[in-house]
Amino acid sequence: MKNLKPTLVLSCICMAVALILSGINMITGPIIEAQRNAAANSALLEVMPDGTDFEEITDLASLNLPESITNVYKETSGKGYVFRVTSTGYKSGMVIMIGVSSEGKITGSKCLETQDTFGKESEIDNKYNEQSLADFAPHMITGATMTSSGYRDAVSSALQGFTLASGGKLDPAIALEAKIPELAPGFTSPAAVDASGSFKKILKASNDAGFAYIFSAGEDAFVALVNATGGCKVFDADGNDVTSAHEAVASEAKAHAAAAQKSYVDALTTKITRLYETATDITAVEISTFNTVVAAVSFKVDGAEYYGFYSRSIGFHQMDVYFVIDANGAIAKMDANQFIFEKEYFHGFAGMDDAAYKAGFEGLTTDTWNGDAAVIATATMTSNAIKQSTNDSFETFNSIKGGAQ
Amino acid sequence: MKNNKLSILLRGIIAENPVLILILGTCPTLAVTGNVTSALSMGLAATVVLICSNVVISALRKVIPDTVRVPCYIVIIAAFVTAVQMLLQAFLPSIYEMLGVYLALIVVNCVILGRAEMFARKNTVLDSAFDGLGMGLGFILALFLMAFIREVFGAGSFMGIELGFMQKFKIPVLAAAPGGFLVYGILIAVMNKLTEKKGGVKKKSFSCEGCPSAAICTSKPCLNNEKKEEVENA
Repeated sequence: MKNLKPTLVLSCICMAVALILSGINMITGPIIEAQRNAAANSALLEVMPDGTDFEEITDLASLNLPESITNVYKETSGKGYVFRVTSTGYKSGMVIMIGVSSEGKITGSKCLETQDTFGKESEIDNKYNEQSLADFAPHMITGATMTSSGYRDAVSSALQGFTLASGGKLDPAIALEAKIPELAPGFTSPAAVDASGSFKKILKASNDAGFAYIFSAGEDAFVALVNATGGCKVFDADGNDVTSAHEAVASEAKAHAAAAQKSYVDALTTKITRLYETATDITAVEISTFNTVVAAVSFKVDGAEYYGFYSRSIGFHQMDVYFVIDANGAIAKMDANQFIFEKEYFHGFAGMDDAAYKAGFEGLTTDTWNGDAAVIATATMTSNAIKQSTNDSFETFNSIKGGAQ
Repeated sequence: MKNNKLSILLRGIIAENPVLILILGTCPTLAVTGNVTSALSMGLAATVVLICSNVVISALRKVIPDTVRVPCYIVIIAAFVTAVQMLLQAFLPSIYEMLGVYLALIVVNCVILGRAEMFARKNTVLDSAFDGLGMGLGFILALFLMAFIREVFGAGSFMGIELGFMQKFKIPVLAAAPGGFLVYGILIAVMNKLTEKKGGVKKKSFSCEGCPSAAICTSKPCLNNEKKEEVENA
């Protein structure tokens, strides 16, 4: 009995306290909840000003969305969706919020995070408003191409994501367009040019390595790739070579490319005659690869057969790299226009002996080439571009040799 | 009688300033005095809790049995802290976010438990309210002084507003944690110097009772003090 009073008093105090606190909670609870939602929604509202409340869709896997979409929020009254998209500008890690209305039009976009240093991404915020998948046009900012491209990719993903999230199917042509970098790795930043004829869309590689023509036949869409030497292949949405089934469209694509393509054969011929004063029988060769090689020639020096390749890879900026490979597949000569230019403008080249650098490639074959010869200290972008050009020249050489046998 | 209330009120501000003389509540003192705004908010929040808990504990002083005294005080103090926390979160969310975890830690602020144990349980409701107010003002004053020095001289700003002329002379270490200890130490030293003339602070009167366990403590000095106090009160 002695312990009863303290126990009772403490219990009573605890109960009274619990009652009072629950009373206060009844008043403040809804306010706190509303504030939490408002904070979470403010970022979403910024890109969808008409929205009222949002609900996150957690089951993203079943929607089969583009990989760059990390979060999807649905406007609860059905006004549309907000997508959180990660993209890569000059550096990876761009995070962009994009609102898409129920009609499939962009309601707003905002870059939340970026590693790019120019701060140009904020200039693109909301510039895509009112665009839809049908009239999507990239908004590029001069001097910040990479940032603009990253932003463009994010907006394009969000528009595709909207189609999928709202239960629609993607136009196969768009899915195909996304496959171009895989099918034609040397076509850098393909950008749309005016479409004509049977083609829904024509894309031109920024390094002049060729054109991609998207067309549909029946339900399916196909892409015809034409490289700078006129070589053409047609691929279906799964990446299978279906050239033989679409000969007519392939020749139409070739004809278009022949008229629009800048030829690099003359430039390569000039280069070869400088490298080999006694070169004869310089003949342009049509190639079947879709890499950075824009021109290929075969020629003879003192009876020996050689192949010359002109590769336009992109380092810090556009590169022009030449390779001469002998009949046995070994590099005979290497050259690049940029050495003189870069030496003048880029300190990384100041201590570089370009004659020795070029000589480092001589004699290398597909088997002995491991990328080391291309390395220039403090010039990673340029080194990587030269590596790519070397790989592409070997690939093209092998395809010519393989085709001839 | 009026004079007595005034002395209770003033005692907390200078003679028994909780932070600078009693050296209680040092954790929030060091943590939130980086800027004046958070120091004042913390001071106000603690004062509200201090007054309310003092009043309630004093009102219940005859009901609460000695054996469960401390748990009861803790529950009452925690209730007020929780209430303040919920109200701040609902109506002043920016201050709630600024104070962060230190707001919840008011529960274990020694100033509050110390006053409950030392004063509220032995005095009338009104006296306890004045004591809470006085101690609260003392707490606010000490926090403000520290925050003022640290923000103006350390960060070159006042309540978040940048002071242009201070930018060249600011001492960044003052705004950092070591600066907090430095300023605190100097303030205590100054306070000791000031009170020295009045015969120094009577540390005995609060040294042992400041401890929540004083009443059940069996060591000699505690017993002595307890008896002394009882005689004085009588």
